[in-house]
Amino acid sequence: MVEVELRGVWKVFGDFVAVRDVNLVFPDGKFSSILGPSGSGKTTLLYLIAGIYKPTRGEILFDGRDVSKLPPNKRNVGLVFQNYALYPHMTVFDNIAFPLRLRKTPSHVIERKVVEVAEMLGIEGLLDRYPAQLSGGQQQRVALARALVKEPEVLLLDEPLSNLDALVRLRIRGELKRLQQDLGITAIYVTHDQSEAMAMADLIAVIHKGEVQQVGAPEEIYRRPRNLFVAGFIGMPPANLVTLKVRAVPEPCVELPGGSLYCLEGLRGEKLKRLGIEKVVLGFRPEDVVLSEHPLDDYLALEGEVYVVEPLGRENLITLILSDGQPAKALAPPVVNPRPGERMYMNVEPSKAMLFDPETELNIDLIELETLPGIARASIVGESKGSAEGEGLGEVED
Amino acid sequence: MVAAATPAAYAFSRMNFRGRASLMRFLILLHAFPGVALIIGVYAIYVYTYRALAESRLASDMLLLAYAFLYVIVARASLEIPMSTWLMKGFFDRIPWEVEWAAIVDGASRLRAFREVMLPLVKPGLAALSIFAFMAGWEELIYVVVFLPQNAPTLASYIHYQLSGGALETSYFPIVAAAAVVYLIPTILFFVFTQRLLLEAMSGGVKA
Repeated sequence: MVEVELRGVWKVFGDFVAVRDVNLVFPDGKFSSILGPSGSGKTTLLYLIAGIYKPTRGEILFDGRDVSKLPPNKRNVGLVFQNYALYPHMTVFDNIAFPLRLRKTPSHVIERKVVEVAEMLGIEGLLDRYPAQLSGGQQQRVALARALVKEPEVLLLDEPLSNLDALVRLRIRGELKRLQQDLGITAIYVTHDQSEAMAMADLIAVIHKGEVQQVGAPEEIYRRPRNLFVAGFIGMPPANLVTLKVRAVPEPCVELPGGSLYCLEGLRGEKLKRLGIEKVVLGFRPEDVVLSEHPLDDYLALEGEVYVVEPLGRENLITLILSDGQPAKALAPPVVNPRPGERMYMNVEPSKAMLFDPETELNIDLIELETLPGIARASIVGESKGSAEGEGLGEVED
Repeated sequence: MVAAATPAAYAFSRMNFRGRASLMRFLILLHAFPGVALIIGVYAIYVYTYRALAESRLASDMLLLAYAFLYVIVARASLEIPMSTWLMKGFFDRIPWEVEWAAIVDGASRLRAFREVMLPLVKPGLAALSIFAFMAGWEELIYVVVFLPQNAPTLASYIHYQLSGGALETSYFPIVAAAAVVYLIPTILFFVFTQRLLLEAMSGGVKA
């Protein structure tokens, strides 16, 4: 088992930058996830670790060993492809045995190991079938068995669950996590499904447009998204993002839909003052919203009109069109069932509200904590621009 | 022919080298010339090399005949290579990249992955190619008639000779008819035994 580290890794195809200056450490024996929308470069990143692609620039280290120049067959990684990529002309047994045969393992050892790993994954009854005779879930296990049988230093998984139907996916998700814990293997799991990443990973790296957006434990990424992209990507449904005007009277305040002002005190107010921005993006999670007919005290109350109610069984998903025309979603108990067109308030506890600078897209609460490379564009605004007492800042024209 | 076209097709399908696209176009252009159109050039080379061989100290009747056979075979095969390469490229293209990568990640070298994973997967293509090659050779007339001496006919050129020009009056038709039947048999057998494979070849490649 090894720790996998990427140092300043770039991958350029022609004039398309697929991976841009990625610095990441996937800890030894942990289940890490690379999470991003399609086309974000996450699979490219995995193939870089596997050695299928060579980095244009930068280094890839396994436990401090530079493997950047090693071809995949010298890296000892196990890779499960999205479409499994089983060898259609070989039986399940031969598929699993293939990596061992390539190492000239004696045949009785091959037999023992294949049966061992097949039993672990519950496919010992399928060994003489061909891949075409297997269901998706079974093929998935065979692919996993083939990756595990050679006892790789790193297990790489490229959206292994995306071709399975929902029920099988849920079951294998649990099994996969358990398996990783039992084996204590370093696993890197690529997915576009944030619920999968949240459920399985010890560490999530959110990636977008080839750049790392945030790295952290699932709860951290969920509760403290570093920027607008992460906030708008993580969560089901993701966080509401509402652009608000900033007024300075005399503390910086935000103008909420419906006309009321909410003034920010303490550190947040101070940061907003120093940033000197005219608009701010308010982010809040649908499950943190309290719906009411009148604004609640000590909450940020956003007025809106009910647009649609979607009953989800456990709760109702209610979409409001706020007074300034922006949509926002709230999760409420099933008993809350307003009619479309009804006027309501979305109340958000200030501690659950997130604020983002619309220009840099960064979470204002985290700005001083910016340590991650690659996204260091967060320019902490200097005094020249940022004084809230400056004239004209209170009144904002569109 | 299969042996030449398959690696070439693999290279065209899986490797990116300079001038790959234009080389592919050039190949299909080569295919546009029928064998007859090239026969003068091919004949000229034949005459030069045949004469050189005949004048050398090694010359013997057997050797010269063997050379004539070999020359026809190679010349005819060369004409088939462009199309075969295209056909094989289609088969390689249909194998997902991931399957080959999987083999390499599993520890295979590129050559090993080609031999143990890619080749078995293009078997229908290889079969189709072999059949086309066989048919092309079997039905070949012009090159055989032009290059081979009369006393070493193939079945096709024998039938042709019996039914044309000078020999027609002396031909013994039951024998000619029997020869024609014999000529048909391999073709029919080939199609009977390979039609499933051919169908697979037409519908194409791997269903991974």
